[in-house]
Amino acid sequence: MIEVMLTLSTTIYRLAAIKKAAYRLGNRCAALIELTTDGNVALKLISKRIGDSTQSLEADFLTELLDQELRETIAEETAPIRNLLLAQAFSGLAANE
Amino acid sequence: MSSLPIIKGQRFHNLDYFRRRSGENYRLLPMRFIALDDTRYVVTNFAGELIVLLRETMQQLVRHELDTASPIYEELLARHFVLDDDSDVALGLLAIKYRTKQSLLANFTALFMFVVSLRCDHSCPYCQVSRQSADRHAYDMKPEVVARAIDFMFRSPSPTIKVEFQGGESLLNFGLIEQIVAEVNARNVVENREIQFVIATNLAPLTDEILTFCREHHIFLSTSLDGPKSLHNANRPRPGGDSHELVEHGIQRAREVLGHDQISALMTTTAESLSQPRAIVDEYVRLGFTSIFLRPLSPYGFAVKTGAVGRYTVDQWLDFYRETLGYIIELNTQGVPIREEYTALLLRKMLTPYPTGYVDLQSPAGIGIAGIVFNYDGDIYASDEARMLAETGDRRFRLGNLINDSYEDVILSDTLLDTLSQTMTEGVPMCVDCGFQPYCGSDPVYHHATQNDAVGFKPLSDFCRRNMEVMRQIIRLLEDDPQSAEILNTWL
Ligand code: SF4
Repeated sequence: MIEVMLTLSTTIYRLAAIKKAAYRLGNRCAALIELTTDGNVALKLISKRIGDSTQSLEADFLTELLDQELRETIAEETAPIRNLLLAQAFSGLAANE
Repeated sequence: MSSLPIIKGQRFHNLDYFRRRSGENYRLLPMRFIALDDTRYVVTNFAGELIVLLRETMQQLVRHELDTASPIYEELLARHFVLDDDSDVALGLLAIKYRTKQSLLANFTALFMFVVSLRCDHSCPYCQVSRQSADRHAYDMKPEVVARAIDFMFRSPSPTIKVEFQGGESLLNFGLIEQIVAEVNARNVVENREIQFVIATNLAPLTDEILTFCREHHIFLSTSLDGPKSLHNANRPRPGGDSHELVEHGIQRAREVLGHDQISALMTTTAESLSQPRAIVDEYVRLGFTSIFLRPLSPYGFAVKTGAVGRYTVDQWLDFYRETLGYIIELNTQGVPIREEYTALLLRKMLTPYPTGYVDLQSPAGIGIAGIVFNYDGDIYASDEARMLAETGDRRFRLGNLINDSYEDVILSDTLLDTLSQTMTEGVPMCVDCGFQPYCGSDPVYHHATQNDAVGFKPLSDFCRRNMEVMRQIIRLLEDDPQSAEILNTWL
């Protein structure tokens, strides 16, 4: 069974993105996420698949991590608008319907 | 001809507007995305409109580096993925579009399934519920249950109500169907709802008398057709081995008496179906159908658990789906009008502003609020699958009993409300960020049955994998194959 060890800077990657990327690959590997003393993240991915390679697991995790980072950026920027839209969509519903 | 709009006191933007500007001038609107392939993302906005973007373009967009004079920027602006100082009306419009997509919720439950009998003349190995019994008293719906069911049904606020008769074989208790139709119509003189009746039947017990009744009451028939004779009869055994002959004859008679479009058919994909995609579609075409629903086998019930039904993997079903869809499109290019219904449903979700009301593809989940099942014994289930699960001894989604529980007891039950709130895809891990979320659903019964958890761990969920790959396939065809895209656009 193969393992991948990564140290990820929390100034570059949000913890939420790291957790979501690990969750997303949950069919393929288990993850151990720990904060290091210097505030970074030490990540261990333990493959569940026979025949999986460290290179492909690491590459797929990093691709997924970038996607999750992008999602966190969008969520952060759009949270106020999202709430406004929901309020606008359902306000006065009883009066109008 | 109407005059050009005046924006902020000007008829035209000034020249500077059209010069290349940095992305500081726009704001992102809420959006989700998912990989389509190695180079592209499917991006969906708050109201469920979609756009396919190259990975680099998506990154530029989010980093506010997109050239605001580029055609892709204009498209993103027009389709509510970004907002700039000139698009004041966009937020209001987006809110209205979102609300339209959710509008079915206001009407609440509109589909009521009456299981009038569990008795059946067929012994299909994939069926979870039917009984080979002559004992009417044990497996037919009782009059006191019927009266309570009709009262319950009219408590729904929905202006349209669909009454579907289910079995077993529903026509084995046709007398009760006549009685329910009469009582519902009598009540409706005061209620004034738009009522539609549907009988789900294998057509074997169909008679001229039944058809005359159906014509008088505008009753629609829904039957089962699994494919060509050998496959259909193997899937659906009955004494005499003549299920296919009877269904073919029934379809013809129903069309003669009720009209061509008053009968539809559903197929169930068994392991034996997987190698016969063309033969299955050809049979639907031969029998004059213009639509087919490629329905996978449900993972519930004794038959599947005991291995009586050949299992197959989700990937095998996906191969079958892709091949069959390809063949259906090929037939369309030759002028044969037939469409695949699950694909058509997803296309409507992706490309039109309207909600579809399909039970398995909704958030909140469709259980209990898109349809309710009244079992023959008075038990109320959140969906047909919930009733099938109960037949294996798991009554997790039994909402109550018509004799003992009121409408409020059932609709406000923790079983229903907790499940609905916990499984809303807007808050479920993985779905919350998924580009397909506006089109997908949660199917709590499926996830409970397969993972013992109504929410489900989506990376391991076959429901998720199936829907994700079906949606990817549809979008790939729309994006990369103009001929297929042209045909798919006619299925809306
Ligand atoms: S079930 Fe899967 S495909 Fe559907 S929204 Fe959730 S993550 Fe996306």
